[in-house]
Amino acid sequence: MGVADPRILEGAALAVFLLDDDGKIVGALGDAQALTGLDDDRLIGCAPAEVLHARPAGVNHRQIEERIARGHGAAPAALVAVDLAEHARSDAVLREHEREMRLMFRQVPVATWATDRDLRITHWLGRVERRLGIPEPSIVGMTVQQFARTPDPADPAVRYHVAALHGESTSFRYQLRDSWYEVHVDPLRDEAGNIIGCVAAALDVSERLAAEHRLIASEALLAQSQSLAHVGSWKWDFARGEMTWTDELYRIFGVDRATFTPSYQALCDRILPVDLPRFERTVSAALHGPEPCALEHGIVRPDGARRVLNTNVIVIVDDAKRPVKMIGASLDLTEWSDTKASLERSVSLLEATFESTADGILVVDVDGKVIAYNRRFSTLWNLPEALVDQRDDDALLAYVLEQLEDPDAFLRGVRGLYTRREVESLETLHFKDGRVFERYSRPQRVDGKVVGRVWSFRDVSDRDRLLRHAVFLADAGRLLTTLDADQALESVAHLAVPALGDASAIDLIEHGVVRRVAAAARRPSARRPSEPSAQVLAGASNVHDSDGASEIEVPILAVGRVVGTLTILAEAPRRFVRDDLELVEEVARRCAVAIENTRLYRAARDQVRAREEFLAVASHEIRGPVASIRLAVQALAKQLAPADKLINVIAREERRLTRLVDELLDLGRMQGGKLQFVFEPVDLAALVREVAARMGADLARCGSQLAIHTVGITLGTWDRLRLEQAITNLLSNAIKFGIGKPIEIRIVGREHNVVFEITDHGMGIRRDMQASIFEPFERAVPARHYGGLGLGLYIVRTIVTGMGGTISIRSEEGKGSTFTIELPVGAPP
Amino acid sequence: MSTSDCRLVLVVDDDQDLREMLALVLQGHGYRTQEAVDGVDALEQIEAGAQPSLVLLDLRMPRMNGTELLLALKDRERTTIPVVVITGDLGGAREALAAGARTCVRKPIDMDALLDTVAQHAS
Repeated sequence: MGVADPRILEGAALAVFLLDDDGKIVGALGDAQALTGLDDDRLIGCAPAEVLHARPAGVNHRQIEERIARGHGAAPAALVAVDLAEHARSDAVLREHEREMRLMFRQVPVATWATDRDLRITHWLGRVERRLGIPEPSIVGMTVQQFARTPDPADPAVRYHVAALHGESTSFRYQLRDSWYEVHVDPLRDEAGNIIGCVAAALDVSERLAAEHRLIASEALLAQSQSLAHVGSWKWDFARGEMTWTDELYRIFGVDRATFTPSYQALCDRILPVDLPRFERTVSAALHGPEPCALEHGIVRPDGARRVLNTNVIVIVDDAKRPVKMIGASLDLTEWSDTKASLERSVSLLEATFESTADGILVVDVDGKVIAYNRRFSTLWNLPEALVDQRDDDALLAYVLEQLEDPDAFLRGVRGLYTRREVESLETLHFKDGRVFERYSRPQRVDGKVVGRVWSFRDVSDRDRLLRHAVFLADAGRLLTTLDADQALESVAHLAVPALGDASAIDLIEHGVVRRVAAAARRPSARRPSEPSAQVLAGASNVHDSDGASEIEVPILAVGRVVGTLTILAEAPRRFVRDDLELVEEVARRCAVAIENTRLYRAARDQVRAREEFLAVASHEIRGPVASIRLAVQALAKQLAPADKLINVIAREERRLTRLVDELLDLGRMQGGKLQFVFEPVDLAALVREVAARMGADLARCGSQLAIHTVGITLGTWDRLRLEQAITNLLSNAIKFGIGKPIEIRIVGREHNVVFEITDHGMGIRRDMQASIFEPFERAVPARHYGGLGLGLYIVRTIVTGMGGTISIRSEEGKGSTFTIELPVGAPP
Repeated sequence: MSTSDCRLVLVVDDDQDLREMLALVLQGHGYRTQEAVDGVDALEQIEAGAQPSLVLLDLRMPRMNGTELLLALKDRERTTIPVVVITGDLGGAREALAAGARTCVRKPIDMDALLDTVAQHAS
C-alpha cells in the first residue's frame, strides 16, 4: 500500500482494513490482531464482517464500531474498526477511550479521510490539521482543493482524487506546508460498486524523509571522507558469510565493484605474502580478544603495484559475546609511507652527514647543556668518551681549555656568545700542539626562536700550516735573494721563530770547522738547538726528539756538499710533522742557493779585482823594461856610460819583455785549454842542471846558493820545453822569495814516477794563502809586488797536471817553502 | 852637471835594471845616488842617517810599496825630503800625490823630463 510503518497504529485498539474491489481484506493496519484474534496472514482474503464477527472467545463481548469508507455506490475501499467494548461498559469509559483514541490519533502522524464525488471531505480522522492550523471539525465539509489550498487541477492531490473518482488507486508523495506525506487515494464505492467518492490515508513522512536525507548525506560524507582519508573498510558478517567493501576500499585495492566479489579469501589473496601470516594472526587475535587489533601490511594490486595499509580489525559480538561481525578499516599509508621512507632517508642522510663530516659538531641548548655531538668532535678535541657522556659543558670546557695556546681569549669568546644568543661568530683557535682549528658558532633556531647553539670545529692545521709555510717561504725567499748570505741567514733564523718552531740555528762548515752563524729563540729561556749531528753533517735530514723537544735537522747542500745545517726546535707539545721537514728542507735549499750565490759573487768579484790587479801588474812589468830600454838608449845617445854596458841592459830588458809576452801568450792558451804538449824522453836531472846554469847570473845577483841532489834514474817521457819552463818558474820564485838563503833541489827517480822538490828558506807562505797560489792572478801577497806577472805557479801547475803529474806545497811563514812535483815516467794516454 | 855635485838622490825601485839605469843617468848628470830595493830598505837607509835631496820612488814594490813609504815618511818626522814618484799608473800616481809626493814622472821615462823634474825638486 505504500503507507509507512504499520506499527504506528499498534496498541490503539483500532484497525484499518484495506479492502479490494470484492470487499476482501488485502491488508491491515493497527491492532487488527487484537480486534480479530487473527494474525495478518489469516486476515488476507477475508471479508471484514467475517473476521470481526467470528471473534475469538476472549473478544466476543466486544462491540466493534465499524466505519466503512465507501465510494458512491461502490464497494468499501477501507474499513476502520474500533473496539468499543470499553465504551459499552461505561459511557465515561467510552468517552475517555474515544478521547484517548482521538488523542492517540493526534499523536500518530496519520490521517484518513473520505470525500464525496465532489471531492468534499465527508470523514476525517487524524492529526494533520494541527500542522495545518485547521480545527478538525472544519475539515469535514471542505473540498480537497480547499484543503490543499489550490484550485490547480494538475496538483497531485487534486489530480489523484479525481483519478480515484475514475477508479484509479494512486500512491504518491505530497508536500503540504513544509511537511511531506505518503498519500494513498482509492475510489470509494457503494455496495453496487459505483464510485461514490474517494477514501484516502496520509502518513507524515517528513521525519523519515529528513532521516533518509540525513542517511544519504552521511553515507555520501562517509564515502567522501573515506576517499579523502584513504580509508576503506570491509564488513564481514559471519552469520551471512558475506563481506562488503566500501568504495574507497575497492579503489585502494584497485579492483572493480562490478567484477570483484569481496570475501575473506579474496582479501587474503591480495595481501603481500610476507605479511599474510601476520595479518591472519591479527585477525585471529581480534576474534579472541576484546581489544581492536591493528597491523601494517602490504597489498598487491592486480596491476602489480604495491600499497601499504594500516588495518584496524574490530569484532562485534552479540549479547552472548559471540562474534557476529568483523569490521576492518584500512588506511592507505602508501604515500605517507613513501613520505616516511623519504623522511627516514633524509634523517639517515643527515645522521650520516653529521657523523661523516670533517667538522666536529657540538650542539648545546640555551643553558649550555650538551644536546648532541658527533664522533669527529670528540676526536678533534681528544675527548675521553666518559667525559663527553657526562654531557657537562663545564667539564668539557675545562678539558678543552687545557689544550689551547690562549685559553682566556677562547673563554671570553664562549661566554660572550652565551650572552648574545643571536650572534654568529668565527674564530681561529691555536693549540699548544701546533694544531689550528676554525671555530664557527651560530644559534640553533626552531621556528625562528633560538633554542641553542651549534658549534662546529674544523681542523685547519694543514691549511694554516700551508699558508704559514707559504708566507714563510716567500719571506725567506725574499731575504735569501741576496749576495750577502751572512746577513740573510741571520734574518732567516729569526724568521723561523715562531713561524716554524721555538728556536732555530744555522751552522756553516768552513774548512771542516762547524760554526754557528745565526740563531734565534722565542724566549730567552727557550732551549737552543743542539750541535749538528753526525747524521746531518753526512747530508741526511732528520726529525728527532731530544729531551722532550722535537728537532728538525736539515743539511744545507751546495753543489752536493754539506756547507752547513739548519736546525729548528719545537718544545712539547708541539711536534714536527713530515710537512715541516719538507719546508725546512726547502728553506735549506734556498739558504744553499744564497750561500752559493754569495760565494760565486765574491769569487767573481775577487776574480775581477784579480784581473784588474793583474792588468796593473802586467803593465807595470812591461813598463819597467821599456823604461830601462828608453833610458839606456838615451844614455847611449848622450854617451853617459860605456856603450857595451848599456847594450847589455837593452838586451837583458828585451829578454824580459819577451818572457813577459810569452807568459801572457801561455796564459791565454792555458785559459783557453789549448796548451799543447810534445812528448819526448827527457832526463829531468840534466834539465834542472841546464836551467840552473842559465839562471846562474840571477842566482849570483840574489846571493842564494843552489844545491842539487839526484837519486835514482830520473828519465821520463815529457814535454822538454814545458818542463824547462816549469822548473825555471819554480827556481826563479825560489830566488825571488828566498831572500838570499840557500836553495835545495832534490830529484828522486822511482819505479813509476820522478819526484822533483825545490826548497827555499825565505819568507814562506801563510797557510790560508797556500791553496790559492796556484790560481791565476793570485799572489801569496796580493797587495805587494814581487816582480813578474804572478802567473808562475799557475803555469807550473798547468804544465805538471797536463803531463799527468801533481804539484803540492809545504810552507811555513818566515821559514821557507817546499814545492814538490811528481811526474809519471810514462807519457799520459 | 856642475852645481849639483853634492845632491844625493835616493832611487827606490825593486826593478834592479831600472834602478841601475836611473842611477846611471843621474850620476851622468852630476848627482850622487843611493839605491834601495823597496820601501823598507829606503826607510832603513833614511833612518840610518841618509839625507837625500830627493827620493825617486817606484810605487809597486814588495814588503813596503811607494805609497806606504810616503805615509811612513810623513808620519815619522814631518820630513821635508821631496819625493818624486815614477809610475805608469795614473791611479797610483794620484794616491801617491795625496800621500805627499811632490810630483810624478810617467813611465816610460824621458831622460830630459826626468832630469828637469829632479833638478826642480831636489832641495
